[in-house]
Amino acid sequence: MTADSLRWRDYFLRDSEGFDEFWRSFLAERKRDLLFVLGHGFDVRMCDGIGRVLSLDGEGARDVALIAFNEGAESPSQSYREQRRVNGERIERLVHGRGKIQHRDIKMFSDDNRRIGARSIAQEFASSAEFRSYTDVIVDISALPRSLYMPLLAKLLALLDAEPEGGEKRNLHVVVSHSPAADGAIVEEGLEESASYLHGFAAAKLESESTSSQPKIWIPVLGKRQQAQLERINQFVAPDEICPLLPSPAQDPREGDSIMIEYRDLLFDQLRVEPRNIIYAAESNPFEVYRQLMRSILHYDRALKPLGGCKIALSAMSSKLASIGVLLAAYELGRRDPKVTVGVAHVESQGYRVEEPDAEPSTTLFTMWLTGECYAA
Amino acid sequence: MKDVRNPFRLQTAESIDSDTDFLRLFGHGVLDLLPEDALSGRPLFIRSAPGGGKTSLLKLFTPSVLQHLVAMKGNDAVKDLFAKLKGLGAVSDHDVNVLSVMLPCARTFPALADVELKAARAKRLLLALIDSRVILGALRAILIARGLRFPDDLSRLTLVAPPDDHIPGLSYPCDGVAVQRWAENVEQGVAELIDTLMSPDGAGPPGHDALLSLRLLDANCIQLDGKPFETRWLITFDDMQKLAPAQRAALLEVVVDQRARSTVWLAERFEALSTDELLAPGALSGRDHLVINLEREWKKGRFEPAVKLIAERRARMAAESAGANAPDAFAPTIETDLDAPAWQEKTLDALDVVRKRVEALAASKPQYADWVRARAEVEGTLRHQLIKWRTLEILVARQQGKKQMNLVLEPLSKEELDDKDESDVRAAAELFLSKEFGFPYYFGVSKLASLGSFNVEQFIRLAGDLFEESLAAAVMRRRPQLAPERQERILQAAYDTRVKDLPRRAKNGRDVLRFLDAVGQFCRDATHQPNAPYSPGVTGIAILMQERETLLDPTQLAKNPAAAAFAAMLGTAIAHNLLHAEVDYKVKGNRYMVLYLNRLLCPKYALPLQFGGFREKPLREFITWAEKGYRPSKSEMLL
Repeated sequence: MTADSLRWRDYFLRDSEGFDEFWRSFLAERKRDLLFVLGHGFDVRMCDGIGRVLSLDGEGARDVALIAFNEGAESPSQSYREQRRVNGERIERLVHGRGKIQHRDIKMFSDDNRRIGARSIAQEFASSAEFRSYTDVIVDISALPRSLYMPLLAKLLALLDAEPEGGEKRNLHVVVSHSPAADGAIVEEGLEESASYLHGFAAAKLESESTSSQPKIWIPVLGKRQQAQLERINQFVAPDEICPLLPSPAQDPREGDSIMIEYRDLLFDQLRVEPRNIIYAAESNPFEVYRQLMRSILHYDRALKPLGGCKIALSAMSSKLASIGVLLAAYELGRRDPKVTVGVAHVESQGYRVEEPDAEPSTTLFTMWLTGECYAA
Repeated sequence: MKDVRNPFRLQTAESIDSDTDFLRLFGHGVLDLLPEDALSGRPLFIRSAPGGGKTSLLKLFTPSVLQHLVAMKGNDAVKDLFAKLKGLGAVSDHDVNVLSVMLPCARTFPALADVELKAARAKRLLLALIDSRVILGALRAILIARGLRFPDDLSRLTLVAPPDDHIPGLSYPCDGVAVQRWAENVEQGVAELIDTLMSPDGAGPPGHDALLSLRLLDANCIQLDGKPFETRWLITFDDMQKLAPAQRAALLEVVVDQRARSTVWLAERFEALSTDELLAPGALSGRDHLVINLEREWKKGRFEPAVKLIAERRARMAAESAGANAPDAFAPTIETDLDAPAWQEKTLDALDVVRKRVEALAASKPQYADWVRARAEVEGTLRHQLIKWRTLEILVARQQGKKQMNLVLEPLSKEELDDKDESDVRAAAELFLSKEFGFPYYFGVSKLASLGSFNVEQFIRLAGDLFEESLAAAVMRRRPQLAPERQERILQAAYDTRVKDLPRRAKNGRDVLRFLDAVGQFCRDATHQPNAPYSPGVTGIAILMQERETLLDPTQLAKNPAAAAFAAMLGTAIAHNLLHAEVDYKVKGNRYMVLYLNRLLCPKYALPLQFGGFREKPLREFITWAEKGYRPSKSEMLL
């Protein structure tokens, strides 16, 4: 397996002016029926992407699947109910007269209070028949938590990949309003006591007793203020080898150093990470994160194959953009022949608290095209 | 093993990668907490707060660790450990007598509960998965115990038919390779069912009606090189609290009903607001099982010697890997003396102040003349004299409180003073002196052990913080001993790093922090009264057991959202070991649930480290504290 055979070796990513240019020309090409899948959250960036795309005109349906997720009465996110209501009104105004809004409620807790959000959102979109009337599905992850958008995207990719060859190619895009400052100001609160593997990727397979002699490699994609998550995921995964991935290049050139200083005690004194295991990938290019992950994982897989193979746990603990790289790598490796056992370890939280950002957050819109026409052979 | 600069940073059993190092670091004190018949066949529940040492205990009994222990039995580092395990019957001079299979319940089982299956099917699959893991673990254990290699030597094992049962998918006799393939298939089938993004309808392997693996082990159905392999089996389930309630109930029912010859240990977190409920009517009777609560057992004077041993072992390992400069023992790096010359001046000043204060009080009250005279004759170090004078001040304050009841103020004798001058009052005096004059209070190995709050992991973290500084001093070729005031600063800072961040780290963390702060303030107010009425101090609260029932009853909680929120908050505080719960504590004809603050919080509120001092309150008052914070009542302000 070589880098040439990577599914997203050639990729499509646009940001800032490129975002507008792409969507303007794309929508002008022909009539396009769009389904936006959005999380109905409190993040002020929730409607940035859809607002911009809708402002660029074009013909066709402009429907929205609005995903509601209630994190419980005690969630700190409940303090931002008003902002969530404002976002709801804004989306109504944006879509008014141009399309329909389908409200989708995601069951976040089972009857015995276990977290089942990831499984619920994957079941919410049961088959590709739901998308037959659309040419494009655009998932805006700006106001969705990681535990929902990762299984959602995995499910949508799986559904679209399973569509019969030769038919019309439906497009799947991911949009995010990216702002390191705003992301840094949104802090997870009330972490679950232990980590788990996200539904949608290998989970039970990683924990199999019959393959317990295979070494486990853990690649956490690091961001700031994730000490508790790192500790819990490490305890859960119990890795034999740790390869932290740091953002470089990044908007702040010292970002990688700051992260290393923040986790020095944990990574080097407690977990005894080998400095040569550190991987670097561009902060604002998820496909670069994907590529670096694939390179490292395939290297380990090749090297350890004669000894029975290995298992990989990934963790997205950085920006939403970088987490798309994690998603793509985990998705692709789990479907290759031969498969590589890759899971995404994650710690759920009770909700979020928004702090005053250090600087006025500037946001950049990114669009990623994951499957469809542009990848057709 | 990679070099470890500060071995105290290896907190969990999982983070120690070689069996030899695990044995060198293992503190055998925990074995004293096990009942003598722990390996007798009765199910044993091992309960503690997180970090209490459950997983390390289970890991000790795994075949490769015991195998290493037998090989190292002459080594001084493991001699005592070997003797204790021999006493329990786990090892003999040349062999391992008990083979264990350890099943972490956090793996796969909870995810299986999330797949929407009918209850009966879910239970059958759970048992099938447990069976496959137990049987596979047993094969591996036998090979390890005989010095053979897994999976290379699996073909030397044979599984013969058990007397009554048939395990779906296995045909007898079959060799170890076939059994491994069967176990893989069961696991893979369950994994596909859990991991699929599509509908799981109809998928998955056939399930089991009972724990067939235990019957198979009881019947010695595994043969090595054609001969039955006879041993005692120990099946350990770790982190039982991670199972869904229905899974836990199903497993308990099967384990107890089957009455297997193999011993089953079930390790789980102690949850004062749910655990006993699950053991209530219809589940288990006392004769069927044994329960040990590690914290309760540690409280019987066993914790301090056990953790001191752990600290010494870790310090020794640091010296071996860091070289000549690193301290090779822990206790000598911890200074315990406030009689040192550096403290003389401060002590003398404080003595002058306290003595004058007491003498001024006694000057107008002749009944204290003998007491003051007796104190003036006290000999010993300046610190000893200071504590004696401060103790007298407390006793005088107590006497003053009583005087209104006594109309005749007779002189108080020296003998009465001696009777009243007890260790708890002296301890309060010491605490008051530290608050008034700034003497360090939280220092020394004994106080460090107390700050561990009967939690091994917490002790190791705190000791690691102190040892880190000694190591740094050694690198800079300075003396590695830590002065008392420096120890205190490091230990006080532990609150900031471990508790302050609670809103992020725990569900309802903000509420928990508010409530802990209320309890801390209340305890401080109750402790720091001039007459030290609850000497050495109050460090806990209590509610009636009847009121605890309210917090457990879903119907009542549904009607009372404030109580429901309080129950959720309290559950988190106990689960994170911030409150140490003792249920069914009998006092004054009532039964209470006592909730002590984790000792890590004591420095923040200037509280003593002893257990025992608590104040009971009605539940509604605690609910108010949780909602609005602590406001002292009028009677408390008048105390």
